[in-house]
Amino acid sequence: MRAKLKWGDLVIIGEVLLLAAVLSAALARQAVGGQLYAEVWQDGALVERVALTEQTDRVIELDGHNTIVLQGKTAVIQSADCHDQVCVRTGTLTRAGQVAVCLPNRVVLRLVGERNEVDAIAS
Amino acid sequence: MQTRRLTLCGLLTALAIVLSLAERLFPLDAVVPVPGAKLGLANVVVMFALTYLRPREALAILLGRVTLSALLMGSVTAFLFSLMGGLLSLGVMCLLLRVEGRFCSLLGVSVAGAAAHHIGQIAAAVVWMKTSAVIAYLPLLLLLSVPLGLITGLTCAAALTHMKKINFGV
Repeated sequence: MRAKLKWGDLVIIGEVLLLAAVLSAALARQAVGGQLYAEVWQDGALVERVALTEQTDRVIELDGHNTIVLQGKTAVIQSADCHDQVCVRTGTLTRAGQVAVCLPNRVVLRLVGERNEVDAIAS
Repeated sequence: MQTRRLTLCGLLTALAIVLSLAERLFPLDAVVPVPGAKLGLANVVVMFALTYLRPREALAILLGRVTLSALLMGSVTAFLFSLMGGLLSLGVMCLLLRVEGRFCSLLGVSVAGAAAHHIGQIAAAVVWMKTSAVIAYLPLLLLLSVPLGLITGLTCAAALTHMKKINFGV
């Protein structure tokens, strides 16, 4: 049996987990901030950037492809015309750093905090 | 002997396609909110080919599988993503297999391969979406690649044991 665990396997698994931890820590750091913003990206360009407050109530239609609903301090891709519906199933975003992606339509909905005014990861 | 290898390549390609079709019955992305998260059953075949055949035969099987299943399921994005993920994973596993037995076992090789597959997919997504926001999915995918890689590695090792038992050589 060639599946007997060796020390190198643990090194590899440890490295993968470490990379995951470092990445999520870096992403979490970027996300903190006071005012919450919802950003809608399409085809690599920022289409809409909305400050989310308790009073926010907006619907954004992207050429009939995706319908994005901003309500209170939450954002959700409510419907999409693509076949996989992954972005719809992602559900409602409530915290900074959360992302809903529609791959077929190249649409990204993300919540960001105050601190990444200049979009540090996307630039 | 040449015919035997060629036949095995064809069989493995067919198996990989069937596995990637069967995989759609268990959509992992219904459980974890990551687009295109899959069990990676088809990767067992590529890994098996790497250990049992030569790297270039494994590459041929990978390219055949990716192209044919993209044609069958008809998705440009899926093709791009599985190609990038598959190639990176193949490269990493190929390198690690050289130290397999001394430094690590098949389990480590497949975990690294699964992680590389996810990194390649996200890289393709960054290029496709023209934004790096999709990197937000990577930590969860890397976490997933540990159990998924272990399953792949165990399956591959079991297959190799059985091949030895029936004394099937190429």
